[in-house]
Amino acid sequence: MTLADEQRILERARNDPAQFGPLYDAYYPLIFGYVYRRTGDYHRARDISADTFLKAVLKLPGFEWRGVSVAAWLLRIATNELRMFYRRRTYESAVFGQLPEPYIRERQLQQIFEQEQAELERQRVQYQDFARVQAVLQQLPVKYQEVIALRYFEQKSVLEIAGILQKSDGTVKSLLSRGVAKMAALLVGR
Amino acid sequence: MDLEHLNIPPAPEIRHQELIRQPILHAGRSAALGFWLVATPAFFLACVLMKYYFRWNLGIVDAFESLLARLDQHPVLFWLQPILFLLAPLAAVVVNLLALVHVQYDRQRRELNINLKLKWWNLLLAAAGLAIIAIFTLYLLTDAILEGQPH
Repeated sequence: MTLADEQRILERARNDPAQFGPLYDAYYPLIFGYVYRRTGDYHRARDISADTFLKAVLKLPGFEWRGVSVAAWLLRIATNELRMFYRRRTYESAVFGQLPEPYIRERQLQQIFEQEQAELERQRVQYQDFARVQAVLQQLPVKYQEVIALRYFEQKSVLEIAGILQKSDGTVKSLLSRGVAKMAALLVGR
Repeated sequence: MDLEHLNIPPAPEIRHQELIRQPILHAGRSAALGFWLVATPAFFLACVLMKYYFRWNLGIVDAFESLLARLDQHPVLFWLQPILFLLAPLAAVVVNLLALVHVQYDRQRRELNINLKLKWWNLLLAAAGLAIIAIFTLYLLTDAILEGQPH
């Protein structure tokens, strides 16, 4: 999807949120992957990803196009949701909280949740080095987790990270440098 | 450990995204609807309260009252008042109670379990809807009694 396509979709979605569908379809896996790689928890990732898109839809009327991919905006919302989770140590999903109970308990949906969780657990066994780094990342202050995850897990450049987190390049580089040093010390200590 | 060359697991295949697509994309409409079903009659009642109890006469109340009086004479638009002050708040009460109350029948134990979720915004909207219905019903009853009395 090109930037021009994204801009067209967003202009239509400002008056009709249902038009946001193609962007939801395109970027849900990206956001879920990011949140899962940050937290290592399937249910947390599912809840935060769903709420990221809910917040995006609710913010559509006031959204201003700035020539940057929607992915960056969505990653910023997801990062803010993660910050709230790490601050409170608990997360209540607005999406799953609003869905009627019979819908959530429906057998098909529950089976899908269980299958997805099982697949991710299998994947974790295959990527043990990554699992070790992920576990150590959780011990760092959130400001370091954000830059390290975006740089090394999501393969974003310093410039892209600065745009997502609305920080300067210099701040991002400094956080990366200090964060990686702390992480190395923790990994050596294990 | 070399983070630059860390083997990152690929993006997972997510099937649940399709099943929660509709509720997310229509969330804005649901939230707005729940609010406006209650906000419009509540605003009018607040203005009436200010005029008759606090003596703050806002022109909008007089204009709205004369509009309702004219609509009362119309054979079709006569129904606007009960829709605005009874049906709309009733719909708001029902919608918000559905979001709060979960009923489940346990066949083995022969128990009916009723759970009430404490979601304050839904509780507030449901309470506001009930209050509007109560106020409007009392007004209708009072009006009917006064009309029945000899002058």
